[in-house]
Amino acid sequence: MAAYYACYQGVFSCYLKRVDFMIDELLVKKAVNGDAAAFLKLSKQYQQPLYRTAMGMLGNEHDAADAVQDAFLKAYRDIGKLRDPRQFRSWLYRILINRCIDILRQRRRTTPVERVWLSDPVENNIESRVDISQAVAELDEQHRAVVVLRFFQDMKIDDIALVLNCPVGTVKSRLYRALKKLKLLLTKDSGLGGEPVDLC
Amino acid sequence: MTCADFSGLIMDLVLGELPPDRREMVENHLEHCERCRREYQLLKQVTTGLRNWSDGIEVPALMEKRLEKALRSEIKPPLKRILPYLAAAALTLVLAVGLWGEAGMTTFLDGKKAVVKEDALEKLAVNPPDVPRQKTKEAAGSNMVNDEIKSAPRPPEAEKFLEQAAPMAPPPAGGKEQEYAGEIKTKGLRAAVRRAAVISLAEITPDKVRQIEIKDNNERSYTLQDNRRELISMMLEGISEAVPAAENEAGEHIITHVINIQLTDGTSCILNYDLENNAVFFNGKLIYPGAGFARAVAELQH
Repeated sequence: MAAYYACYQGVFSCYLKRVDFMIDELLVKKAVNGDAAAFLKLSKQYQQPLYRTAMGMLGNEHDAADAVQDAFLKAYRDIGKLRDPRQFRSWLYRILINRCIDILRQRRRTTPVERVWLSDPVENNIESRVDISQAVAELDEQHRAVVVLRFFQDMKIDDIALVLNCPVGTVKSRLYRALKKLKLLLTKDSGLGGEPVDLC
Repeated sequence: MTCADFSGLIMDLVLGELPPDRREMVENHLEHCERCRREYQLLKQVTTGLRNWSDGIEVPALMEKRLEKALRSEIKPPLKRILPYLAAAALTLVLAVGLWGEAGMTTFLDGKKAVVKEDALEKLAVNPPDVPRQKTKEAAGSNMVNDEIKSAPRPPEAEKFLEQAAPMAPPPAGGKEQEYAGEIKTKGLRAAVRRAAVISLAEITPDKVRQIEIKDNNERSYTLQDNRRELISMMLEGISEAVPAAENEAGEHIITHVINIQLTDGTSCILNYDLENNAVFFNGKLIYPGAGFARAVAELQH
């Protein structure tokens, strides 16, 4: 009975996902044809995942909010150029990641990265979360993007490759390196324990 | 296999990318190798930590409003951005009432939605409705769904002007694609339109366009000139991406806009546009332009 229920739940959630996907596609088609209301709906739908991604990339609320807003404005201006509505999600994430990378580069020219992350710490009750956010800040922008898309958005490696416009193999190797580096930083800094392992 | 060989497989296991047949092998190794097991546990802690961090991120309360405000201001441009356009629109309205209206464009729409069947549109696309031609009358008699499409009374000078106009090219048979080779003379334009050797949409490039006059079914007129080059380009890009309707496609279309593209050489072509379906009737042909066309028209109305 439990197995049957689990199976039913799985099928039902797949069905819901499919319906969501179809609604998304319809909204995107409308937005591509100049329907501003459809784009507003899409912006509401994608606001939270995009904000999370931007937070992972930038580490502070103010910059993350700016990046999301800029990404949506650019997407609105350029949506007419989107050839395949099914690519909307990866296209939108690509715009956001590029905007975040721009902000990171600007920041590098003006403010030390550590200061930005530390001046606006992540509010939480879990000590390790602060450690992880700081460790992520140590990654370069390409590795950071892969990690954030994978663990903040649960994206498959193929989808990440589509967003970042690079081969699947490159995504995999960046992910491996990033995780190893994070593991090293965390074992060193936050006392997770374990001996540092030879990396990369 | 050595521990170094298992390193990549452990990473795949952590990422959930390991095929089932290899999963068992790696799990067996983890049971017996403390060093690899420790590595696996640490990597798991890293990924769990990342997911926990992500789950704890909340969108700031004011962000949704801020974003919506920014998008709405992008959708509806501020007054100062549309002032030149308003001035141009006002000027066009004056000209349109005085000139273009006489040429039948206002009577074509008459301030309301004109419902016309496709075969009537074939003729309308080629002939402005006030041109006194037998074919147009036939079309109006047999095909117009809506009686709102009527000829306007013309002053004597307009009649004289129209008499001088050469007859229009006949509409295409069977709705097939054709190039329009004829003469358009309407009083709606400042300068008389010269006979065009061939007017084909494919030949129109932004540099050839002098201006585009657009009249909608709320009797609003817009003129796109050098000040709105980006919209002209957007419209032409949409036209260049147009796909033709299926040969057997049928149905009613509501014309919402009449678009007069005037070229630098004095020629022009008139498109009848159904905004709802993003469909254009031109030269007896129904086409669906690219999204840029609809966006440009929608942008005008904002």
